[in-house]
Formats: sequence, structure tokens, C-alpha cells
Amino acid sequence: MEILGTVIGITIKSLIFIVGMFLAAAYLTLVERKFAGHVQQRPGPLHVGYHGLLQPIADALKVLTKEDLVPDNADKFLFYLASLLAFVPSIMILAVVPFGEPFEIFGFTIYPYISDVNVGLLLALAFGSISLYGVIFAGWASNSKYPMIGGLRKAAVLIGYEVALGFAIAGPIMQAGTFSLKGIVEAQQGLWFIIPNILAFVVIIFAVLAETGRTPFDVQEAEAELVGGYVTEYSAMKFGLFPLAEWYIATFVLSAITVILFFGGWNPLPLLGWLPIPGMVWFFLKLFAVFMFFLWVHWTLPRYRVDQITELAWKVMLPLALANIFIVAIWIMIFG
Amino acid sequence: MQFSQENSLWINQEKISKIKEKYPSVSIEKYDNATFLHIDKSSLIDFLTFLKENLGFKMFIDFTCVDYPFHNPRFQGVYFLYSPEDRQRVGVKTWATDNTLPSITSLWKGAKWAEREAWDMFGVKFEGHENLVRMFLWESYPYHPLRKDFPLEGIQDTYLPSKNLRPEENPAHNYTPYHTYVPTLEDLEETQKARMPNKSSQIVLNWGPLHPGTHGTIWFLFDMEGEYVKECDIILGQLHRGVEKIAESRTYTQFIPYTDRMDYISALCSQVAYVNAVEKLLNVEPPEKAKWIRTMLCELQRINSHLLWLGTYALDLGALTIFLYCFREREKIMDIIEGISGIRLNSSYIRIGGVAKDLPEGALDVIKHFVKDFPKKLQEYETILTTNRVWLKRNINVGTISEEDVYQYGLTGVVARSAGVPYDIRMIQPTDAYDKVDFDVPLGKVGDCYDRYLLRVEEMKQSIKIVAQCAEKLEKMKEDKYIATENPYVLPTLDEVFNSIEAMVKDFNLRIYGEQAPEGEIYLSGENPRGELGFYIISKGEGHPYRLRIRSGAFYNLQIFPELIKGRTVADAVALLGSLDPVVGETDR
Amino acid sequence: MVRVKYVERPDLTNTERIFFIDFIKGMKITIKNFFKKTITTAYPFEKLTPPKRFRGAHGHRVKNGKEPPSFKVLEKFMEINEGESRCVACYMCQQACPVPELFKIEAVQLPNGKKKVLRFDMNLMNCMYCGLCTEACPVDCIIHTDIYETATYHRAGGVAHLEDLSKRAEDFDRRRFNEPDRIWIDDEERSKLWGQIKWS
Repeated sequence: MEILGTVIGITIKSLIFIVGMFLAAAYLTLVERKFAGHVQQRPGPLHVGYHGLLQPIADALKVLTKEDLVPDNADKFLFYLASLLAFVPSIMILAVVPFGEPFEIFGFTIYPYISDVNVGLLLALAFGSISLYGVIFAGWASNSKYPMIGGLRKAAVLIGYEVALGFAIAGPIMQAGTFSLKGIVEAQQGLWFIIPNILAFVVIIFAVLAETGRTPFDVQEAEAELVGGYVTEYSAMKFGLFPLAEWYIATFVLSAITVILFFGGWNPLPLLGWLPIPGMVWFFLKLFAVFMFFLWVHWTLPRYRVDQITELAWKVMLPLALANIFIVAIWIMIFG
Repeated sequence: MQFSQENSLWINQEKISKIKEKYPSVSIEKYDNATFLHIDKSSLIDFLTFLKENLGFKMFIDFTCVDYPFHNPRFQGVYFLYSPEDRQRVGVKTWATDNTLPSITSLWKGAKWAEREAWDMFGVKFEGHENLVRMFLWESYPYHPLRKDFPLEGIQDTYLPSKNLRPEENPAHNYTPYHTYVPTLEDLEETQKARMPNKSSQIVLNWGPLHPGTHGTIWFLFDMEGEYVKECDIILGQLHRGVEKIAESRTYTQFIPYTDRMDYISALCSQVAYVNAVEKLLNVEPPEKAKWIRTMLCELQRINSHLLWLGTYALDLGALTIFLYCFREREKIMDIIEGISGIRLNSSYIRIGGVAKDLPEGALDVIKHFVKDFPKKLQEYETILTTNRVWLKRNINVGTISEEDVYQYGLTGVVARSAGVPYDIRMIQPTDAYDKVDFDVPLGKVGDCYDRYLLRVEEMKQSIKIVAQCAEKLEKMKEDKYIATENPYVLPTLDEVFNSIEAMVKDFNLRIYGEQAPEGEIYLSGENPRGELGFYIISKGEGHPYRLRIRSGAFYNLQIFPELIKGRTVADAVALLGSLDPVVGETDR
Repeated sequence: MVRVKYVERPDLTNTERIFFIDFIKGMKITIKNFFKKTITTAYPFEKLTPPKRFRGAHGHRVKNGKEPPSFKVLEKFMEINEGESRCVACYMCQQACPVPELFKIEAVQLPNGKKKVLRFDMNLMNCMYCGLCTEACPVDCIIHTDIYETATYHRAGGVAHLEDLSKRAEDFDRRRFNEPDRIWIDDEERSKLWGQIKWS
């Protein structure tokens, strides 16, 4: 009976997380559009709802009611699979991301995470890698030239940055002594891990930008070169899933991981611990700030060429990540 | 006469006598603004080699044909060459016996497309051309439209009714369901095969004609090995409207709106270049004020064009925000142009003998405000881009052009200057008020995309300087005349027509019969933001040109693209194409 | 005077490279603009007034006592009542037009020897709005109004007839005839984009 209870509990919680993530992603599109608009001195969406507040709903309805075209020559199975493969893994990362400490409401203890696995970080990395297949399948199955080039570009970028990312997270793990994301946050109650891990932080920023396909690394769908990259042949919601997964859910989740690894998760800002703000709010504030930072970068910089990106990954980011491990090791030797 | 031989840009007596010595059969045809050497077809290549090697005419400017249906042989080829050291131009004419001419692509690679165009438009064959296919039209097209016996409206033999018409409805008095032949998919496939006869790699990527990166409707064929382009060819003609053909049936004034629609990004510059050529042909001298207005608007238009270029170029390279920042400033220039001429884009504001209307009240205030405001904004763009590492990586050493390329391909404008060739029409042949204003012509040292970016930004700064000078000058000539209506070739203003019967009669005459230019020929060019925009006009004393050839800077600049892209990636193609900055309206005409 | 100069090629210094100064500088500008006011005009809800010179859809000025002297001369041969189009069927607009096919002008000789314009159609679908016709009109009849929203659902809607033309011009003259020939008249709306301009 206890197992059944756990299963039901986790199912409900997962549903809440997934639906919540969907809504959040929808509204993150609005955030991005508003931000981009104001950066460019225009108001962004304005007319659906108050200052465009209902715009995401309208967009979702539009995308869902569009005709779903599948090219004749496409590999149908992979074509359908690809959009799911791109989308599901990025939302699966949520399973291991904790949003705060357990708290009590009406006598129930609520755990604001789905599971606290002791290899959480590794799982997150693994799920991230799976989404690579979605991109490659999408490029291949479309049976068209632009998607194929786009897919291959993205694959090259992802492979490069997965490695750098893997080494970069080694620093915080070494300091915390655990793979559990919750454990890492708890280890940062004193000093945040950003202090010795500054190099890793730089690497992670670049890696997140590359993984989520934001400028300066949005080569996979550089619209001036490849029309739409690997999503060129997709339409309707199958098309909608790609940017939703990449630009919003993945960015959101990876921002969460960045906050957990370097900015102390739900620990309050230094010197502001006396404020009566719950940990989850702190966490989301930090998360939002990091997310906005990515948007800010996206709407400022031009884009690299694909060979320059992979060059950067292997020649700069990987050595930086390794150097970071070295620095952290010395740090641990000195400060324990 | 105000256009004396001394400051003329054409071949001098000394060189002519040298030519006479070597080729006694050469006959000279001299006009105020053009000098032509007639040579027999058999010794053409030899003669051109002599001009190139010995007399320094090493830069290829233009080649075209002229159709004389009642002459035998029927077609005449006209070559324009330029000597960068002596700043002299020369035209070479030769009759195409048996409708063939020897190809000069061995001397100048830039002649490749010009010869293809001549074949396309006139049906003149070129012996020794590597791949003589049509330039603008599709392969199976049976006619050669610029021949005099081809009707202006084309051969309307295809029934193509509007789909939303009721059968009995006739929407307008000039509506016809018959159209000229529209190419089918097979036609296009054939064209594509003809353009790239030897495909060597795995994929041929059709980049365009409807593609966000191609700046209009250019159709690129990339023969690709992975991401690298092995071979490239360009199919033009999606925007070909036969402007040169139209010109032959319009009066000189009526053609002004068509010049707008060639390079629609810099309409005013095209108008000024065209009107200047016509004015020199008709020997009309515009009033001083009109000259200053023209210079000012030309420079505003140049900033406008460069801003559009900067915005789209940054957009192509992924910097999304710069695009709208540039459009913000461009919008202001559009406002100015709209306020002065009445229309934002295709302004048709310049008239033979002056400008269409006087400056409106407040125009100079607005321009002064803009002049004060703009450098700050330009600084912003530079801060974001100029030393950005991504920008540097994408631009440096991409598409490097050498000085030799400039001469070989007839590159002009910023593309030529980026390679260090000081070829600026505003400098070597100042028209309007350009000889009275103070500005720098920036030159590059390397000739890559980065140089072209820096040059365009620097040109904007120089242009704003010129605009400031013009605005200051115009402030003092508020009451002056803006159009030289006393000249018999210049259309009177509305006020004059309303109040005097003579003006009305003059107006009627000029509208009906056109400006009957004296017999003669002229080649005059202007510095368009995209390069040298030359107008070669042949007048036979009628109210319309006998032949009007438009030497488009963008057309020749684009020609080097297949050469530069070889061995580079698609991502570079975007950067390269952006920095060459073609406008399809002008390349296709 | 014209001079030739070589442009400098700036490069990143090492400090700038290590501390991402180039990125930070650029991002400073975007965030500064983020907090500035928006400059756009929400088009169908707010509209800018085009300048008086704006070359929009054509109109025919009517006989209303403000005619130029040339009209008085030509009027003798015409049967034009008060409030009707001033057109004297001189075909000058058609002559001046680069696309003359777009005009269809028909006039008849009345029994009293005077001329009357029966038909004046302009297919604005073919029009370039170059303004040459308005410059050719000797009686200040055909003008450009400031109407720029000319989209229609059918091709037939793109053809302007004599009555539409007169109505359009009457409307235009009522609104803007006495306006000075200024670069624009709506400083208020334009200041969003332009900021404050110092008028002389």
C-alpha cells in the first residue's frame, strides 16, 4: 500500500511539475518577447489581454490549431519521434531539480522536488545528452537539406559542450562531496561555490548558451543561413515543441542547475538572511535573474560560426574546465 | 561650356595619338562626356590588350551592346575601361559581324556576366566564353528582349486570368488576362543545370530565391562538400523588369520614377546619377540651390542605405537588436525624405534642371537635429559591434579582395575602396556640390568583410559631415530658385503654368514630345552606396533615349561572390553576401 | 575638399579579451535602451499625419472659386458646374504618366459646343505615385491626397473614378488646404521618435 501511495504521490507531483513547467514556459515566451521588445525600444505584445498577458495562451491556441504538415519524403516515424525526443528529456531534468527545502502546510510535509537522487547531477547531464538525438533525428528525418545541416551543426556543438559541461560541474561536486543537487545546495550555506569556481561558471554560461541554442551559439537555426535549421520542415505543435523545449524549458532548467551549483540554491543572499523570505522565493529570484541574463546575452551579441564554436569548446572551454578542477583541488587542500 | 575638356574624365589627346600610331585604322568619336574608339572586330582583343597593358586602362567598367536594326552588321559592342592612374575613361566600339564577338573574359573576368547579359538581351554570341548561358531569363526562352523588334509589352500569349474574378467582371480598363510566358518548373530545372554543368560534390543547395539570407530574390547554387562550398553559381533575374527596355519608350522625365525602383534602398542617389547624365546631355545647368539640395539628400540617402545595410548585416550575423536600432535611425531619415519629397522610399524628387519642390518649412531644423543626434547613435552601434570578439571572428579575413580583383571584376564603391583602390565618383568626377564640400574618402588596407564594415561606418560619419555643411549652406539660400525653368528643356513649375500661357505651352510640348536631346552619347556615373551607377545614354535627337544602358555597381560587385566563397562555409556566404551588399532591384534592373 | 584616408582596424586588447569587456560594453547599451521609452506608433490605433506633400491616393479638386488663372482661360470651353471636378480633359496627366495605360479619360462635345468630361478612371494598381501627373495638370485639378490606406479586396476597387476622385480631394482640401507647407505638422506624435526638435 505504501508503494501505491508513493506512486500516486509522485505521479501527482510530476503532473503538477509538468503542467507548471508548461505554463511557465509559455509565460517565459512572453517574458522574452517583452524583454526583446523593450531592448529594441518597442513594446512587444500589447493587445491580447492587459499588456499582452494572454498572448501565450493565444499563441498556444494558434499553434495547436494549425495544420500539421508532414513532408511526403520524410521518415515519418523518426519525424514524429524527433519532436518528442527533443522535448521530453529537457522536461525530465526537472525530476532531479530541487526547488527548495521541504516545508509543512496543514501538517503535510511538502517536498518541492520529485526525487532527491544521489546521482542527480549525473542524471541531469544524461537527460540533457538525450535531447541531442531529437535534434539529429529531426535533421535527418526531414529529408531536406537545411534541416540536415542544422541538425549536424547542433550535434557538433552539443558534443563539444557536453564534455566541457561535464568537467565544469566537477568543481562544485568536489567541494560538496555529493552528486545530489540538494546536497550541493546544503553544502553552500557558508560560502557560495562561485568563489573558487569562477572559471567553471564561465564555462557553464557558455555551455548553457550553446546547449539551448541562444546567440552567440544559435548556429543550428541561424535563420539568415539555414531558414529555420532543423525545424524547417516542421509545422504546428510539432514545430512549437522545439523552441519551447530548447529556448525556454532547457534554459529554465539549466539556469536552475546553475543557481544550485554556484549561487547557493535557496540559500538567501549574503547579509540578507534575516529577511522573512522563504527559500523557494530566493531560489526563483536567482533563477529568474540567471534566465534574464541569458536573454540579455541573446539579444545583444552576434553569432559565431559553427567551426568557431566547436573550436572554442575544445580549445578554450575544456582547458578552462580542467584548470578549474585544479584550482578547486588546491582550494580544498588549503581550506579543507 | 561649363563641362570643359580639361576636367573631363575621358582619354586625352596624348594617348589617342599613341593609339593612332599603333592602330591607324582606329577612328575617334568624341562627345562632351564620352570618347569612343572604333576598332575592327578582328583586332579587338589585340587592341584591348594594348589599352590594358600599355596605356593603363586596366579597370573594366562596363560592356554592353546596342542594336541598330537597319545597319549591317546589326549589333555594336561597347566597352568602357578606366585607367586608375591617370583617372581616364575610354569607350571602345566594335561591330559584331555575324552576331558574334570575341569574348574578353581572358582579359577581364568581370566581362563574364556582361557578355552573358548581352547574349541574353541581344543574342550576340561570344567566342571563347566559358559558359555562355542566359543572364536573367531562363534557358528555353526563345527571344532576346532588348532587340528593337521585340515589343515593349512582351509577347502576351499565355492566358492567365486572375483567380478571384467573376467571369463577366472586368476590373479595370487596362486589365487583360493574357500574360507573357511564365517559366515552368522544367524551364527552371533546365536553367539550373545549364548554370552549373559540372557538379562535383554531394549536395547542391538551392540557396534562395526566397531565402532570408539572400537580400531579395537571388538564387544561389552551392555545390557543397559538408558545410564547405566547392562551387557556386548565381541565378539572377527574378526581379528583372527590363528597365533599359522601358527607357527606350519613355521621355527623359518619365524615366525618373523607374530609376527609383532599380536600387530602391537608395532611390535618391539613382535619381541624381540619372538626372545628372541627362542634364549633361541636354546641357542644362541646375541652379545652385538645387545642387546643394541634391547633395544633401544624396548623403542622407547614403546614410539611410548604409544603415539598412548595417542592420541587415548584423541580423545576418545574429545580432538581432542592432537591426532595430538601425531602423530607428533610418526611420528618421525616412521621415525627412517623406517630408521633403512626399514619399518615403521611391521618392522621385529630382527633376531635370533642379528638384521637384522647394524644401518645406522646418526641413532644415529637422535635418540639423538629426545631424546632432546621429553620431551618438552611431557610436552605440560601434560599441556593440566593432570590437566585439564574435564580430571580429566572423568578419576578419572573410572574403578578402585584392587590388587586382578590383580591376579584373570592375568592382566599385565600398568593395573597391576596401581593397585600397581610391575609386569614388564623388572624388574623381564631382557632380552637384561635391566639389564644394569637405569630406574624406575612407580606404581599407586588407579588403575583407571587416574592412567593408569599417568603411561603411566611416562613410556614414563622412556623410553626416556633408549633410551638416549642406544644411548650413542651404540656410543662406532660402529664397533662391530651386529649378532652372528658364531653360527650354526644363519643365515649368505648377505656379508658372497656372499664371502664364507660355509656360503652359512649354509644359504641353515637353510632356508630349519629351525633351528632344541633341544627337549624341554620354556616359556619366554617380556614386551610389552600392558602387558606380553609370548611365550610358545614346540620343538620336528624339524625345526619348535610343538606348539607355545602366551600369549597375551591385551587378558587378556580386560577380566576385562565386570566386570568394569557394572553400568557405555557408555561414561565410551570409557574411560575404551581406558585405558585398547587392540590391536585387539594381542587379536585375 | 576631398581627402583619402585609411581606416584603422581596432583590435581587442588582452584585458578586454579576458574580462569580456567587449561583451559587457555592448550589454550595457542594450540594457540602457531597455529602460528608455518605446518609440513605436501602434499603427492601426494611432496614426501619424502624413506631411502635406505626401503623395497618396489621387484626388480631383472641384470648381470652388479657388481655381488658378489658367482654369479661367480653359473654363470657357468646358461645361463644369460648381462642385464638379475641374478636369478640362487636356490629357496632360496621361501624357506625363510613365504608365499611361492606367488612365482612361473620355470627354464629349455637348450640343452647345462645350466639352464635358464623362469618364476619368485611374487604375491605381498600376500607379507608381511618382507625382508627375499632378505636376502636369495645368488647372490644379489632379492632386495627391494624404490617403495611404488604399487596399481593397478586388482589383476593381483599385480603380478610382471621377466621383471618388472629387470626393477624396474635397475631403482633403477641407482638412488640409490652409495648412502651411511644413515638413510635418504633428510634432507631438513625432516627438516620440525624434525627441524635442529646436524649431527656428
